[in-house]
Amino acid sequence: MKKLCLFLIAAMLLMPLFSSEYEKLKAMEDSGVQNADLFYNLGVTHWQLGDSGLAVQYFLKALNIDSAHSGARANLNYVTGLSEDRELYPKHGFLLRLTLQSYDFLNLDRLALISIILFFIFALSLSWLLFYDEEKERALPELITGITLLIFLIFAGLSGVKYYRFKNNNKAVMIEERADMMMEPRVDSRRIAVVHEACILVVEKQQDDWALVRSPDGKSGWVQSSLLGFVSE
Amino acid sequence: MKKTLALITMLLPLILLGMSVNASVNKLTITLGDRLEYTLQIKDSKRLNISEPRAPQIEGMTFINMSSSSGSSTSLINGRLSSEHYKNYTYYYSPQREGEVNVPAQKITIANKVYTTQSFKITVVKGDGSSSRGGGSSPFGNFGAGEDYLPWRTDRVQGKSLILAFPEKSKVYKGEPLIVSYYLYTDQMVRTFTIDDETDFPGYGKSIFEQPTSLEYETVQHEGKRMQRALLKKLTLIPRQEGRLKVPRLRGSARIYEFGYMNIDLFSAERSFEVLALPSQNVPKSFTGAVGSFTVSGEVKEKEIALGEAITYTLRIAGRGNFNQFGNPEFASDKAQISSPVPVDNLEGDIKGSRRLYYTIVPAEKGNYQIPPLEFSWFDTDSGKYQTFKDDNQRVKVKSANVASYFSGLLEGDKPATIRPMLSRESYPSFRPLFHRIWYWLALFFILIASLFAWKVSRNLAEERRDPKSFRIKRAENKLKKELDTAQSLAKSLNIEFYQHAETALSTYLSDKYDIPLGMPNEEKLESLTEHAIDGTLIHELGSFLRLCSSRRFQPQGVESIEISSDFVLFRKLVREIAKNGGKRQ
Repeated sequence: MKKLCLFLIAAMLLMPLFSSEYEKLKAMEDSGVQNADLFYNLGVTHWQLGDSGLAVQYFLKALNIDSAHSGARANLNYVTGLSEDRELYPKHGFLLRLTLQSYDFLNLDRLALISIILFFIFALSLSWLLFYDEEKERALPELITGITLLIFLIFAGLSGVKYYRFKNNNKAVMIEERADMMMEPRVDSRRIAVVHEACILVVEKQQDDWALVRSPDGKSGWVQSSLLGFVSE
Repeated sequence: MKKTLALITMLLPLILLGMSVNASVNKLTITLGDRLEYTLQIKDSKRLNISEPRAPQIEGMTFINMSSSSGSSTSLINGRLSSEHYKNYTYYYSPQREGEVNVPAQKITIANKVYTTQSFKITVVKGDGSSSRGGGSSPFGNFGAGEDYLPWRTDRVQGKSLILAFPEKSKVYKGEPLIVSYYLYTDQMVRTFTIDDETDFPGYGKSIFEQPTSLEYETVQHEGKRMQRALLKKLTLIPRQEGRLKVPRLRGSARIYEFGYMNIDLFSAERSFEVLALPSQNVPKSFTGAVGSFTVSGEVKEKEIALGEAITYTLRIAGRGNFNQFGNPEFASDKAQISSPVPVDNLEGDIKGSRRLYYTIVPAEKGNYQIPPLEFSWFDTDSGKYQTFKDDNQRVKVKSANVASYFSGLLEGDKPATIRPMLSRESYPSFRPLFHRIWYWLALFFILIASLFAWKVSRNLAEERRDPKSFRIKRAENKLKKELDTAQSLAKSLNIEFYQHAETALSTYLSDKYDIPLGMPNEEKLESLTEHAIDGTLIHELGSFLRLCSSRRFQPQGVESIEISSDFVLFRKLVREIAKNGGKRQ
């Protein structure tokens, strides 16, 4: 019995040596590792295997952990740009793109770090205000304290939103070649639209084996959950 | 009942998949200037091998032209794979008069079986002049009787038609694309031409270079005779073996008007060309089979990037050659991550034009990065020699990454993109956000506590500034209360230090509150208290307690627990009295 146990442990340790790169990465993911680079590499591997839907799913997973992952962002844009539903995505103007990119640049850790630094600066400004000579005009320290408090609250709010999104990402990707979006969660319901592989959808509700999703052009309909790859599983 | 239904369901595809002949017209009401399209569709589950049905005779209409198309579809019905083949014959008619025109039912004989189509009643009305014959959908233009632009004279009823094949070269190298053009030469009234088949010969690969959708005639001299010719097809042949090879033979049927319509089958004449071997000497290492006449260039758009950004290297191969027969060159191995190339073709018939290969390179370290050498070799058919393009002089400055580098792609929406390669990582530590780390919250807590402390201190300072006397009193009272706690612990432990501590605490309190010097004897201190309107009983009790403290401290037999406890109670009472109203008279 002891020998059998030792053999099994040895086999488990040696298994990765005989596995392909993909299997190694997949095994790591299955063991519960949450790493943006791991998901990114899995995305690239799936793209090379011809699974554009799964590739998009993994790029989104990488971005869910690190929204500033430039490789995952570039590859996501590349793959969705080649998908059949690429025209469904809204085209943003320069300023909105800049804003969204800035928000992406501020990943969870950056936001946490900036928030604590801003809190420290706010504490310093507050101390400056508290110890400021009462005989003098207090407008400047009050202004500085007010501004730092406002900025701190904005970043704290952004951190909260990002953290909530990180824990409850409601995005999903179409991983099969195509699927019908139905009016109701039934196979014989009326078809609203057709979505294709690699299309990014927002899950609004889940019911049994169906998910109520919103397509990039704003259409809502029910899709069978088995056809979707969820970012948060 | 269920079994019968199941049997019918099983047999339904077979019933449906039998041969069928259907007729249809594009319109039931047309104007005089309009055109009627009469279509016969023949469907069968097997490949159709039928001759073209004769054009129906329609009284009141003139036959103009016809076109044909064919196709097939495969479907899975009840688990059975079935195919359907069809041929469409569309006949174009021009109405000659107003009124009702009857399109009679047609009897089509296929494989000794007669199929009858339905008849149609067409109403011809006077047009408003907006329709014209030129806007029709005839694939081979408008060839109406008596129309002036016909390429032949309408009175000619005899002559000959033939197909000729023209390879563009008589000698080519192995792998070099060769275009063979097939022309219809005629001096007859060929209305339509249908290509039926091509007979292939060994030794080459083949693809269509060009196939016109209509017969565009031009006048040429052939064997001293003036004829019309129209291009039927252009094929690209890629020779795979050396020696003399025959070009494919084209077979088709021409529909000729000669007191009615007749079909004649035509074959292209046999033609051949010579294939030369590629030299076996001085073959470059990077040669992967490219043969042709190419211009090759390499380009890097970025001259300076931040670490972590990608460089896009573009290799452009332009010219004429066997683009689909050679492999893409790869960079020499390097520390940087280099993707496989993504080809973007702008080719005509897969042999002429340009191919761009996009490589994504992500340098691993900052500094002056030299892109590794890239080689592409081909056999140049013009010079008959191997040529090599080598790009080994591309440098890119790689700076440290910064915030701005993240936004560098914002203005590059039109830049051709490629998939970025995998990242080489030795380990993948699981992500733990800062919010999940204890030090983050400790730091936050520390800042919070420091802020509260600062607030408290600032409040005290402000209070002191506003009313120094009452602040001093308050502080003295707070201090005395704290001293009470210390005294209690000393009393509990029967420590003789309790008396000294209590005496000092009371003296300090009186000093802080009433500015009575600490060094003053106790009797004088008590006297000064009377000047501050302190209750006489309290002064008396204070005096008694201070004296008690002095005597206890120097008591030779020590102090018993009962004594120290009762003394503490007394001390506590005094402190409370003082704290209650500053000891002043009510």
